[in-house]
Amino acid sequence: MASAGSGDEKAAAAAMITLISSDNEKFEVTEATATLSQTIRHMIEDGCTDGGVPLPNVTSKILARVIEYCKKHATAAAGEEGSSSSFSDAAFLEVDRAFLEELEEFDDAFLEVDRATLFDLILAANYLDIKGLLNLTCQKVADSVKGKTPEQIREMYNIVNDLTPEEEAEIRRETQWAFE
Amino acid sequence: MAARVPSLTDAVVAEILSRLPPHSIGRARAVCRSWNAIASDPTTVVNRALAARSPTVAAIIKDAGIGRIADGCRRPVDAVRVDRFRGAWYPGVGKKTRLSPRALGLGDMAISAESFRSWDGVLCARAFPRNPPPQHGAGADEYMLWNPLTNACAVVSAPSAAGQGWIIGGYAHPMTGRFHLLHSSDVAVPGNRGLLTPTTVRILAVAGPYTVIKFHLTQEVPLPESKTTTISMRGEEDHAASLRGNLHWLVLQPASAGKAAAAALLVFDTAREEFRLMAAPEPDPETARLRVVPGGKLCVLALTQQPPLALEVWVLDDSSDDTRRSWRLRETVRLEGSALGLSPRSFAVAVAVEVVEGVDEGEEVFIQSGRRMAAYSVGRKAWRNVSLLRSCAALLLHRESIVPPGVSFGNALRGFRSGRASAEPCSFWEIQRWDRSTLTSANVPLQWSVKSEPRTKINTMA
Repeated sequence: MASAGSGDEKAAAAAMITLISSDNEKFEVTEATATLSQTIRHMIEDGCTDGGVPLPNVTSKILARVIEYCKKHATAAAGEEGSSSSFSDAAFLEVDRAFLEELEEFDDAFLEVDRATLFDLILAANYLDIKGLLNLTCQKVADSVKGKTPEQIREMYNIVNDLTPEEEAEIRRETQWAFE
Repeated sequence: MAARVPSLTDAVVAEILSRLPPHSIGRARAVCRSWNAIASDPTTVVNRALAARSPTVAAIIKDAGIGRIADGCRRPVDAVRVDRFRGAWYPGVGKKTRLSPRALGLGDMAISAESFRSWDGVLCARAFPRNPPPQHGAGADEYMLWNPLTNACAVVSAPSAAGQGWIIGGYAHPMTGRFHLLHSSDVAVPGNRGLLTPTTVRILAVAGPYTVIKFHLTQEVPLPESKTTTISMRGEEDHAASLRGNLHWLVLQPASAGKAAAAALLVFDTAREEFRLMAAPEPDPETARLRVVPGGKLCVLALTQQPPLALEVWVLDDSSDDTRRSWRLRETVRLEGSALGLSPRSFAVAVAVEVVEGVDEGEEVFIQSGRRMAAYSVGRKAWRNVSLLRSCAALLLHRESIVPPGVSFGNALRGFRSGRASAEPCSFWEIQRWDRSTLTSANVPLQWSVKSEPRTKINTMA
């Protein structure tokens, strides 16, 4: 909790949410952290988070990483929401430039994971509807796909080519522009 | 640890592909069946993400010369090239062949480069047979559609019932991806140069049926003065602004019953295929142009009515609610630094102007006047000259679309094949071309059929 940012502890202390992973491990997080997930935000709004939020699609290993991400970004999100009404954009950027740089470094380090973990993170981000995390992880995969041939992509990600030779020839003919 | 790589869901693959440049998405189609389906379906997040990207400034370059058609005979040929501006035009941009201009020739059809428009990744221009040349007022107009990225091309005719008219807009239908054109038959407005009053608008689904929209407007929300209203719009000099699935035109409601003529926005919803009218700002209607500023807001560009000569940029705030929107004067661009030598009159008749997210400088206003082009950096508040390509025929904004040729054009598709123009003066045997003979020998004849009678009324909002 110490790294969650001391600034909003007062506000956050009141509301804690319990998340339960698929292997039945419990995680206590602040509401500010949990609501980075739109899925959980909606559950809180509907008042169905008493007794914890079961997340049958997310393992404890992945959930721990997701929470790590959300804690770091919850403070940034709170700042952004406040800025839309009370600060001008320029003032906000000035104050938080250092923090944004730190956030970027955190994101870079966060992505230093093996492929299986990265895919699990993407699936979790998609299921939990965490826009920032989905963007971060999908961009990482997109960057690795950029400029690659279909063969290289298949090999990188163990994708089975289920196209018939005729279908593939037709697609290649139609997308010849992409191979120039 | 043994790698157990989980398989990604289609939704997640779509998220990944939507973050790729068009060429990489095109390649990804050959990975496997599901990737192909995701990347080629025009309704997926992939194509919507592409459609939301910032367009780039593009120039249409027209070349005419003697070319060698498939039969080996040398004949006069028109070719058009499209070159996208990336801080410079093609010859100045490094050695990446991918950036080279795309070129197209239509064999023995001539292409009218002046009327080029770009909608949803497809360029549209008038085309006509070179021999014999069309007689004025006779026969149906023909239009060339070209996606320069995939090099897919179709030539379609307006329905013969439509007579003379022009294409006021085009769009990839949000549900099917099929390209549709809006064809307007109109009458000239007496005593008002350059203004036309549309009488009938037809939706032409390429390779499909067409739908008639009668344009003698019956209002569902009546104006106090009258039960019907007419509008007038600029002809081919101006073009529709496309934003979030709607097409927009700046139109005039003529003076009537004690009420002065007023500008209005005509809006076409491409999903529902219906028109409606909205309020518009009051700048000089002679010079006003409707555009979209980067970030996705409608804007009206108009010259100031008093000296010093300047270009006002009016932005429409809050695009969510149609009835309660307000126009805000965001920027006044002084024109004396542009070296374009503009006058209100020359601006009204012969200027192309676009607002674009520039390569290095953030938001820029591009103005082309005759053989000159200049760009104004909104951030630096300064003009710079943009060297213009030889024989540049049109300046437009273009964004790329990877919608598969067959989806866009159906059986009106004339062909697609990679062809790269050299940067040298056009050598015609290197570029893509379609002969009239191959055009007409396709399996399905080019024709429109009537799908339905007039069906849509226009909803007018005061």
